[in-house]
Amino acid sequence: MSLLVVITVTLGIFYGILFNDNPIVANLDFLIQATLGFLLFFVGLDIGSNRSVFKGIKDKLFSVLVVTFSIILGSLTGGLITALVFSMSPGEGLAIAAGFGWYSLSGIILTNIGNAELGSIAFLSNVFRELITFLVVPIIAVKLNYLSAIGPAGATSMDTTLPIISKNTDSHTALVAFVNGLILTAIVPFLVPLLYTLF
Amino acid sequence: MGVIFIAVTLGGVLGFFLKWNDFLKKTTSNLQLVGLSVLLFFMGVSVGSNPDIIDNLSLIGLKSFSFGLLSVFFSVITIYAATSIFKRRTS
Repeated sequence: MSLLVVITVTLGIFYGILFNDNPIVANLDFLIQATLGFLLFFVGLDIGSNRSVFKGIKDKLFSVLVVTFSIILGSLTGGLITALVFSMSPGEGLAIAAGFGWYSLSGIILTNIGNAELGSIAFLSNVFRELITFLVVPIIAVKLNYLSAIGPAGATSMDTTLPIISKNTDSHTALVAFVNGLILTAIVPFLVPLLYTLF
Repeated sequence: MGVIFIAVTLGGVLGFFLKWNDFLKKTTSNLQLVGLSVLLFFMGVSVGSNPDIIDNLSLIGLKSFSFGLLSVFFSVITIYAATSIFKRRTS
């Protein structure tokens, strides 16, 4: 699975660099949305086909709580350490990490309230986070456990990275991932500016 | 956002009422793999065709990659530690 990810993403990157002017690049947003819609339909099928998926809803909520809280804590720790290594301010590091993979929004927010360079770093960091997610989810699902495989995805676990999580884990984990993505997506717009201003 | 909810809900309802057999399971699994490959290719194209990403790579690439990698690393080990502590309720 990881090999498939490396090959398809690399092919795509080179295609994007070499053939900048063609119908695929021109309609990319639509194509990604359409493919994502197609895939999320199958994620829904998986979840719906499992009759036991809504059983033990209390424990499932507890799992969501553990996963979401751990991602917030872990991401911010990573952001803080990276900021210290590159002699950036703690607030900058925390705000970049609080994008949780949602690159378009965190990039725009930090360009506006910070500066263009900070916005670019936030954008690119969260693009990297998404690419790393595609690569490591299949490995983590096997080597650690299914819930840990949601960790890399952050806020993207409700859309772009949900298909790869669903494919490599089970329908219970897919449901936890979806709700986790919803919560993180909802808090990114508040947390990024808050952390930047506070620290 | 709307597409996400419609797609997942539609799939969920259909998945609940469908009569699942091995053929259907295998077919949907294969379709998912094809769709996933197409999505990953498009995500790659969106990175490669974006001059903001490619032009800035040499300047802020290492910094950005470190942010991405360390956020992922600490998120994963925190979840792994937490799920090990609360093993009974999260498995």
